[in-house]
Amino acid sequence: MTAKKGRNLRAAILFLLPFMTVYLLFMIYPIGKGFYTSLCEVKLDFSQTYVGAENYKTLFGDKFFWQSMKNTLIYVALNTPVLIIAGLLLAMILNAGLRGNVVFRTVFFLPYVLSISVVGYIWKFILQPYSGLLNSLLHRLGMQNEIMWLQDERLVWGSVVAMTVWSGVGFNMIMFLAGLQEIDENLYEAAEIDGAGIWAKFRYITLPGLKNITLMITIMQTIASMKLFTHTFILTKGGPGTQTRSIVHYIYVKAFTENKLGTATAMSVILLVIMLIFAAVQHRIGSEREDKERMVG
Amino acid sequence: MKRGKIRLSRKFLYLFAILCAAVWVAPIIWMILASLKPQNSAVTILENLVKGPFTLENYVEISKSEIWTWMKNSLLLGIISTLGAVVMDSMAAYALSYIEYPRKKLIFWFIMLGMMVPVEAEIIPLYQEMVELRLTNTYASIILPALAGPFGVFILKQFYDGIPRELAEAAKIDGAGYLRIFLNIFVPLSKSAIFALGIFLFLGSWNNFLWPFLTLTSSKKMTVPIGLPMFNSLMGSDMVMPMAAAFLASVPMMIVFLLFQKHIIKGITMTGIKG
Repeated sequence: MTAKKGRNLRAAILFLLPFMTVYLLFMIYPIGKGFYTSLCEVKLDFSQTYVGAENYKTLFGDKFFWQSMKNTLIYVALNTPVLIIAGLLLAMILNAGLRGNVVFRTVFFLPYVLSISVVGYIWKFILQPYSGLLNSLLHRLGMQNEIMWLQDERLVWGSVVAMTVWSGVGFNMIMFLAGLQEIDENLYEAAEIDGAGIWAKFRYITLPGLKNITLMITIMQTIASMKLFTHTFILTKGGPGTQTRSIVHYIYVKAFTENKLGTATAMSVILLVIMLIFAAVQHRIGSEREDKERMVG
Repeated sequence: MKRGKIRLSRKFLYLFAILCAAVWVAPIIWMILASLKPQNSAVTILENLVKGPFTLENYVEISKSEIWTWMKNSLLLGIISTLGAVVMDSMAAYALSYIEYPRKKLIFWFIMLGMMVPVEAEIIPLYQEMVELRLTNTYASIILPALAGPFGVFILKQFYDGIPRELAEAAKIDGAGYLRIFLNIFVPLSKSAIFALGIFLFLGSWNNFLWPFLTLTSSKKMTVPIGLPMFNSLMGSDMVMPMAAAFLASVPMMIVFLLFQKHIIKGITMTGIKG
């Protein structure tokens, strides 16, 4: 019996070893190191002196930190619902089984596989004033003035979200499609016999059937949006001014432009804590769902 | 009466679908058409765009740049990180799913901890670590953190959990050890899941921006997403050349997508349904 246990343990160690080694060295170690560095002042030669909560105090008094926080939350608040509604809409189109369905799916999903540098580049030239594609089209339709899609602070978030939806909606669309296909076809048939219209079927069958998947997508999307960097870094460089500079972007600026590695790391720790809270909520919802399923099953 | 109504609303839906598809594909068509125009042409005037003259000179021109190096780097790093991750992840997942030993749950949760930590939140300490190891501006600095992600372990563990234990028990009675059971039962039965995961990881690697942007500094080592913006910034206000570069850089991924669309979709639903 003990011989068997020993054999099991040895096998487990051998199978876990390769992954655990890189995991400990390049995931766990940097996280731990980050917590300590956030309490230090880091010199240019990377030597660290312990300064306690000094970095955090600096941050809490830094209006650019709060602005980057606010910017990120604006993006989360705008981007998440738009991406969900757009994803659901496209999934419903695909689920209707129109002719040429595969073409539709391919077209809607294609931008998802493009590199964000490519996406950002195309959109910069769609949205720029005077020579951009969108304004040229609008001029053709009779518009007189130039719309500053990326320079006007009232419009810039709309532009960023438009680009994000174009490039990222494919993911949500596929998830919703999987959710839609799980809904029992008989429910719709029964409702039709009872005389339910399109709206009633959507409201009382489709939406409740998608509750779980919507919840899941909402959390995944929120977490992804909190990490905003590349989209705004490439499309707007955080501008106009610092109006679209996100937390991750500010971490980058603090560390590599201002050389304040300690403060930058403290910001990373704050971001980490926020993400852990989201993840805990996600886990909680996930396990509640499992419990319910177990009760039903 | 009711039939007619349904047919009408289906027509509207069809029209709407075509409209959406047109909006979605327009930027890509624009990129391709613009890339075929002579340098410094006005590519936002639609008539000019569809009328001639067309030329391939942009593609000839960018072929002289480092774009082939960047594509080779992206491909190489993507393949190595993906293969490495798939092998290590499936081994770890096997140990977490099938083998029984004390504290297994604790180890599982310890690995899950890393799932909740976004790379974005640890780039500074990771960068310091790479400086200490003298690994900045090397391929290893990209590959090692890519192998450390626990996402694949989680996905494959879920998948292995669903494999009937009777198969493994039967093999055990025939004298198979843990390695044989892994190679002859678990891996073959989850081939499609492993493949979907691989495509998904490759996609992530190909499009990875922030970390390579920080650590790769010499243009010979750069990947496509990092090299392209550098190339574009040298082009000034010319839209045509960068469009050609952008399209050329997108071709490999578009091919992967068209060939493996089913697997990518499977990869996404796997993350969603199981996550």
